[in-house]
Amino acid sequence: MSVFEGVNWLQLLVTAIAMGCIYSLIATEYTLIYNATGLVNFAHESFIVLGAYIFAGTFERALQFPHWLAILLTLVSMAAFGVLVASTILNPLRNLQFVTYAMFGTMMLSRIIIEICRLSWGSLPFTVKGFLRESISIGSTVLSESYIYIIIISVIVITLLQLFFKFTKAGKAMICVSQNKDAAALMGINVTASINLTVAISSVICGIVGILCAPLYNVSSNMVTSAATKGFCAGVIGGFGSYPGAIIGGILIGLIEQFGIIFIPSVWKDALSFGLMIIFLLIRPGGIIKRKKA
Amino acid sequence: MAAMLELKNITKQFGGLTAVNDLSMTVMEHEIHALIGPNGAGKTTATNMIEGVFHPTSGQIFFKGHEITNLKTHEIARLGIGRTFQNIKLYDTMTALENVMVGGHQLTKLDLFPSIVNPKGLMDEEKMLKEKAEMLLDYVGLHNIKDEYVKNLPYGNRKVLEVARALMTDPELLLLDEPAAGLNPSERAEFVDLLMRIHSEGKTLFFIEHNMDVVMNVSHRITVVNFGAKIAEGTPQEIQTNPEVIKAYLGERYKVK
Amino acid sequence: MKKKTLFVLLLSAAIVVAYVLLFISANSYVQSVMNMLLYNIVLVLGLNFITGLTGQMNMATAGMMALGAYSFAIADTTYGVNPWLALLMVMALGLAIGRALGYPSLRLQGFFLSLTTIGFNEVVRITVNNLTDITGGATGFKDVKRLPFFFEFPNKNSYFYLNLIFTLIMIAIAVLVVNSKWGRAYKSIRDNWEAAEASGIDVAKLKIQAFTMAAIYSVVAGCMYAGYSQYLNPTAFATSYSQNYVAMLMVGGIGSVPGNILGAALVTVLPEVLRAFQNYYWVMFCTICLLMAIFVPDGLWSVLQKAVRFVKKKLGKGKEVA
Repeated sequence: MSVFEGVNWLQLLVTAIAMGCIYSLIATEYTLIYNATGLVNFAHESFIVLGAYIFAGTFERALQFPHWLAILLTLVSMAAFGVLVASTILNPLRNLQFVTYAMFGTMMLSRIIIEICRLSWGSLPFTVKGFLRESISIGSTVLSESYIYIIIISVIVITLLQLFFKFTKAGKAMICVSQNKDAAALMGINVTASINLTVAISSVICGIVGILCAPLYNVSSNMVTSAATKGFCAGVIGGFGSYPGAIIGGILIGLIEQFGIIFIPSVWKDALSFGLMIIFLLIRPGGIIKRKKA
Repeated sequence: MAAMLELKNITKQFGGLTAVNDLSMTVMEHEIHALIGPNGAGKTTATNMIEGVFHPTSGQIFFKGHEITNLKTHEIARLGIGRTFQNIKLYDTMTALENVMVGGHQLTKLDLFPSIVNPKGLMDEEKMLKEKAEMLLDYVGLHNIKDEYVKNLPYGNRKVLEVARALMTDPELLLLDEPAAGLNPSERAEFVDLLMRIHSEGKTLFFIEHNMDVVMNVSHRITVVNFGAKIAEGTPQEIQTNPEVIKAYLGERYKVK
Repeated sequence: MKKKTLFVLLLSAAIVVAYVLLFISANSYVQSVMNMLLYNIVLVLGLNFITGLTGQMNMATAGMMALGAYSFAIADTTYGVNPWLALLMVMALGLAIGRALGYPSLRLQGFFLSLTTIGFNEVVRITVNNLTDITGGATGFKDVKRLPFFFEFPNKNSYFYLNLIFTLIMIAIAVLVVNSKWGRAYKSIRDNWEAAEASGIDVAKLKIQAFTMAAIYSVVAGCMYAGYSQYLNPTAFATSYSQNYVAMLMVGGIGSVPGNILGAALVTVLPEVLRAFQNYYWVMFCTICLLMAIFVPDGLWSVLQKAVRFVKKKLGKGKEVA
């Protein structure tokens, strides 16, 4: 019984769900690229870091814009960046002979972006003053403002994405492209443009994750290393290539690691999600939600 | 003559779809046997089951009297069934010679660790493989391009190279999936000539083909399938006069003149 | 084949001579870089079997190396096992790791496999970091006992030569495997595994075998590292190092031993040579790697080979050479 003493369940639950939402967003963001191009974007961590730096380093620290303008401009820049990367790098990579080459390519892309961040904004970690740093008290429970925002914004982003797929022409075209590029091209869909749009949306989500993570961690080049890898775990556990799977997997990992540290020392928190992913890959490689074959 | 390959009541279902339905047939030793039928009749599914790519839902397959129904592809290949593919499957990063030499991997004895401690033995095997592969390339008429990378070779050469690689495994039965597809008439004539030479060395040939000139001129026996089931079997003459085959597949052109 | 062997022999001889020359005027810094090059060569040669030839992405090289280094250190330093026996035990461990990691490669392809190996690498690093009583945790494992070779090696300068011998042996084995039926069989799996199966190649067995080779090479490199530096720290085995080894493999040339050595040398030595550009070096280097991944995916060695082929063809036109 003693392990449960002093555990504030509400606080733990909110933290778990908020972290779960971050993992879900990360899983969603690379699932988008995976479905559109067939590539797993190993550079996604650097996209998030870039988003955080553009927001915190340029628009907040250097230009001191109001938060809403900084966020807006960050997301616009990330979309432009996404189109640039898709057309110059991801498109040639997806046509290479072996998938190992493409993986290597995205790894190198990741390092380049991280290095550019370090060179442009310096290597010292910094914080964004006065951005989601308050906390709310409910009785004995102290909830950080940023966790609440993370949950609300994640729900909005994921809902908007689903609506986009369901009700817009471009969204439907993206689903066609992810299922069969040749058929999509024959139906008159511009596959390259559709991929560019997908990567742009993915980059915007990365930007949102970067902004949301800015108050949680100091802004630095390895701020989301562990979160980004756990995002991979979330996708695998939920079901690779499936959007509901990405969300379920993310929340599941958030819950397991937060409640797991009641029972095991917190230093093993990260090993827990990796172990879980390996077990899933071996026993049920399709994940919780198996993707329907097109 | 003994039976080389025997299919007994083979059925294959993919979910609710029956691709091959209760198919029985026998390929005799030293025979050229063709399997024909409309697209989607289950021909390639049948070959894939013979090669162990997937296993039948029910029924048995025998090769020279041994049951091979549930063996793995490489085990079946080692028993003496060589194969070529409908859409050529070569090793693009290797030269023509190396491609053929891969076919001989299973003929060698040394395992990995023994070959590290016994480099001499490994070199001897290498020499044996190389000589045999060069001989085969000579036999199929590709010796002049042995050092070319296969991705640079023209279609006709690639097709012949696949046959050489299959021969490298020392097969008794050669399975050819649409050997004449995509070849121009003169290439096709050369290819048929090659198949006849291979047959004259004592090999059994079993092939799927759509080109009726090749099928009727080359084969001893023909099996016709439609919707996964056998509808006729016999000599080319018998098949050409079979009304059901004409209706299902051949059409008016092959009606008796 | 003969020419190739001769060439590799010459190359190895050149490396040996270069080393001896370097050591006449050695300072400890140059020496530590050269030692790093030695174990990097061994790691890349190992990675070549599974990622270069067989085409299965392995991002657990650093983790496998860590297991080798730490088990060697624990066996021979903590428990006082004879160092050479400890080395054998570590190689047996490599065999086990290779089999354990090779098994997923039968069911998983491409990205899924690479995720498993990343997961493995992280689990190893976290474990080593947190089993403080056994591994020393973040403060590191100090005073690893070295392998003796008829005598105890008194310092790094002399121990270096033992590592050099290890490297040459590993190069020789790699040359033998890569340029024989094994190399071709591994490549056939990468190029077209269905055709490989139809040629009678047991793809499952060979995949596990290639993983095992990679694991054994990595644990041996781990032992070389442990013996030379005598100090182990978990930060040296992060997943980003596994990525570095993949970079060495890709830059130099996948599938060929000289290419592997070239890649290991370039990626190890260049940052030290280009100290002047330090701040911009890494971004320059990664950009070159990315451009190479897109335009020269087979690596620098393939460019050299193509050039040689081209020249030969030009020269051969005059004479009648087959």
